Order: sequence, then structure tokens, then C-alpha cells
Amino acid sequence: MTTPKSITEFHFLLTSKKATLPELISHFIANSKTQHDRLNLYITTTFDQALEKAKTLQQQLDSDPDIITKLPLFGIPIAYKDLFLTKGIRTTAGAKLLDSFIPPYSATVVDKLEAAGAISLGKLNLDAWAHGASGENSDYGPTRNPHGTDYTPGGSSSASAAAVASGCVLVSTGTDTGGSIRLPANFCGIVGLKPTYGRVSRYGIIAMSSSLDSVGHFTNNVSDSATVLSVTSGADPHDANTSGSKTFQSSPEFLNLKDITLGIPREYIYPVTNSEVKDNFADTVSLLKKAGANIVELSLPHTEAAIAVYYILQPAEVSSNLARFDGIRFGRNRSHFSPEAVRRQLIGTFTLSSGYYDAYYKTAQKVRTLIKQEFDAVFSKVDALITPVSPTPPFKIGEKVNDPVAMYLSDVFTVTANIAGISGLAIPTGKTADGLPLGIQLLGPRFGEETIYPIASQLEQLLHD
Amino acid sequence: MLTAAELDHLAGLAHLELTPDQKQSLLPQLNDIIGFIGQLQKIPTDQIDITSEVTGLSNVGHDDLTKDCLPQKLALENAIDSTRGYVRVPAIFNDDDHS
Repeated sequence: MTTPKSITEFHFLLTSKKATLPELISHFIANSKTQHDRLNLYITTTFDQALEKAKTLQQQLDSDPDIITKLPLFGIPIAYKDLFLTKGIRTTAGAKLLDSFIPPYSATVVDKLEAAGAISLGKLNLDAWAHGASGENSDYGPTRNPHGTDYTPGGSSSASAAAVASGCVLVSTGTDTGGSIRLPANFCGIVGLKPTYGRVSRYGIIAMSSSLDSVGHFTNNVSDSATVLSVTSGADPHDANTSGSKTFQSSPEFLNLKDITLGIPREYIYPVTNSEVKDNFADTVSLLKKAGANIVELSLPHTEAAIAVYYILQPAEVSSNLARFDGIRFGRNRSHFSPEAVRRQLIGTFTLSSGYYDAYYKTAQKVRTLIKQEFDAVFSKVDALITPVSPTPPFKIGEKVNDPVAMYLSDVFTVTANIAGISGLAIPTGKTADGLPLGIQLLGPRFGEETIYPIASQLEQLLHD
Repeated sequence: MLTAAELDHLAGLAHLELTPDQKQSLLPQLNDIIGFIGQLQKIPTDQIDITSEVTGLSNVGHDDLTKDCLPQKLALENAIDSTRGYVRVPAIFNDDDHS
């Protein structure tokens, strides 16, 4: 069987009776087993439960063929970043401290995806506590890049990206606090959404940095990504920050690129020295230009400061969120934190401590205001921004592991979206001479997913033609 | 510059016990990071308000109604030590503290 690449292809195989759901799920399980041995993807698998659900759903399909139009993710193989609580199924956050934690409830997003028909194959590897840009901080060993196993898949949602890119699942979940969806999507050559802060519920997802955490997903294409957001988005009484969130509705309307103005912030272009990233970005922009899009260069002067803002606010919130792990109600004691979690809690404790709070934490919150205002100002002039996701193609495993500041700078083009709370979509646009993926991100205003998806669809089409 | 004594103090505040080896590798790394994030202090921010919630929400409330919660048995399932329906925690007070 050829692995279907999209929800539409998957559903076509079912409706045309070319394959049954148990056959399709068995196929994805077989892929998962092969690729796991190569890439180290899963922390926990739920293959038996997946096959059981596939049988049940097949019976429902046999008796009600319309069910496939009612459930947008009917039968779709999915896997969760192991930060998402799954009732009765071990959830580790990639950390040995939670090695035996069995959650008594599921994340809102998990419940929504499964109610929409998705079938989970298991829990995916990540940097422990979602701290990292390469997947190498996992207590369960690093995940490898499917396009070159010497390379990292990006992090922290490392195996979420690698699992979709290697054909193990059609959809995976991730969290993006400073780039943890867009960077791995970029390094693995797939589509990754960082939704607007507050668009998707965080309830039941182990918190990293509460004012920055965004809950998104990975897919092979733009249309699938929009379908998943239509399931996961919307207000959840368990997460007050979603109270202003409307459910995303994918618009089938054709978008004329001539009506669109895209901004290129020069602070995201000039620091790029890698010629393959530079050339691919220029080619992508000229493709959009030829198709009629208006392209303007503009400036976001506080871009360089954003990474420092991020590495103050985020560890501060990490130190607060990880303080609850007391080894009493669940999990092992605090001596089991791995080195990056220790570093971040110490930095956070430092920036929040008496005598340093004003100079670090409060200053960062003020510069956050400046960054947010800059984005608001440019979005009054352009519909969206287009930038590279990363200044370099995927880097090698081990390359940055002993240099925390170099690792932190991997997020230089992605953290701004989290600081301003805006939407961002990573899209693959090509490959290096060595066959490693390259891509761009479209950044839209807060609750601007309705704008960036149609642009992304057009770009995907242009790249395909 | 963070000193070794300050690192001990921070570790105490964060309830983290560090080995001498950990301290030795952490100190230069933390000083690198603190040096890096210190660059923000050059940006003039006197007249700028802080942002803590980015979509503009504040004080989101809900009706004061009782709702279903986790059954006691389920809530205790991950506890390291429990007794008679409660989580057992390490003692906080010594006998001397009883009045």
C-alpha cells in the first residue's frame, strides 16, 4: 500500500473501498515501527488501542457512510507530543521525573481530536519539558531527522515533526513557546502551525511558559493543517485565555494574491549568511511577486532584543511552573530534573529574585510591549509577513549541545511571534544541495489564521506547479 | 557576575540540590546567559507599560457554581504515598513546634 499523504487521500481510500480502516491503521503502525527504529520517535505506543478503535469506526462507517462527512478527522492516524495529557496513558514530558505518570484526565485538545474521529498511535519524543531547539534534551534520547539521521529534526516538538515527515501519522500535535513547532516543521520539511496565543486551549498540556505557550500541530500540507485547527480552536472554560477565541472556519474562497500585501522585515533577512537559506527565500518571494502579490520591505527594530526578552520571560515562567513538581502528588522528586530544566529554573529564579526583578523581568515585560506595538503597527499596513524560519538549514546532532546560548539563538526568527502572541505558519519551500529541507514562515496578526491560510495555500500551489 | 555563593542561594530558592560538578559547569553557563539577557537594559523603557497578557484579556471570570471534579481515588493514583484518602506529605513541623 502506498502511504496516503493527506486527509483527503486517506478518506478517498476509505470511501472508494480501496482499503478498510483497520488495514490503513495497520499500515501506519508498520511505518511507525520501522521509522521508530531509525529515528527514535515514540516514548509510548498505543497500537493495540488504535486497531480496536479502527475496527469500531469501520463498523460505524459500514452502517453510516455519511459519518465521514460529519467527523473531519474520521480514522486519521495521529500522535501527540508527550506533553499532552492522555487519560490512562503514560505522559512523561520527555522527562524521567514523570516516567511513570498516568494522567487521570486528557487535554481538551486530545478530547476534541478524538471526538472528531482521530486515532492515536501514541506519545512522541520531545526535549524534556519542551526545553530545547533540537530534541537532544530528551531524557529518552534524541530523535533524528528523517532527511538525514546525523541531523536534528529541530525541537522541542522533535518527534512530532519527524513522525509526520516519515509517514508514521498524518497529524501530530505540538506546542510552540518560542518556535517549537515552526522550527521542527522547517527542519523536517512539513507544515507547522503556531496559532494565535489563546486560540487553542492549553488545558491538560504540561505548562512551560504560560504567557507564551501556543498549542498547534503538524501536517503534510496546508489544507490538512486548516482542518485540524477547525477542530482544536475555540473557547474552553478550562483555559481562561481562550475566552476570546472563535472556532476557526476554513474558507474555501479563492484568494487573489494581487489583493495581498506581504511585508519582509529587513531584520529577518540581513543577518542570514547561509547562501542556501538566502537564495531559497529570495526564490520564494519572487514566485509570490510574479503571481501578483505586493511585496514591501519594512522594519521591526526590536527584533534583536526579542531573544533576550524571551530568555528572561520564559525561564521565569518555567521556574514558576516547574516549582509545582514536588514529588508528592505525582512524579519523582526534584533531584530528577535534567540539566536544561535545572538551568532554566535557576535563571528564572535569578530574574525574579529581589534586587534583580526590575532590571530583568520587568524590563523584559516592557520591551515585550514595544515588540507587540511594532507588530500591531506593521499589520495595519500589510496582510502578513514572510520570513525564513531559521537562519540555517538543520544542524547536526551534538553541534550546539554544550553551548546553551548558541542553541537559544536557533529561535531568533521564531520567538517574536510568541512574544507578540500572533499567528505563524511554517511552510516547506525547497531543499539544500544535500537534500535537507528549507522553508519560510508566514506571520499574521493575532487571530489572523483566516488570512495566512489562504496565502499559504496559494504559495503551496505555486511551489507545486 | 553570579558568584558561587549566589548560585547556592538561587538553588536553595528553587529547591534544587546541586552537586559540586554541576555547580562548576553551571556557573560559567549561567553567567553567559545572564550576560546575554542583560543587553535589554540598554533599551530605554522608563515610559513604557508592561505586557503580561498579550491578547488584552483581564480578570476572566465564570459563574460561581460547583462542578464535577476528579474522584478522590483517581486523584490519589499518582501520589507517592497516600493514607485513608489523603496524600501523605513529609512532616513540616517538629515536635518542638507544637504549642
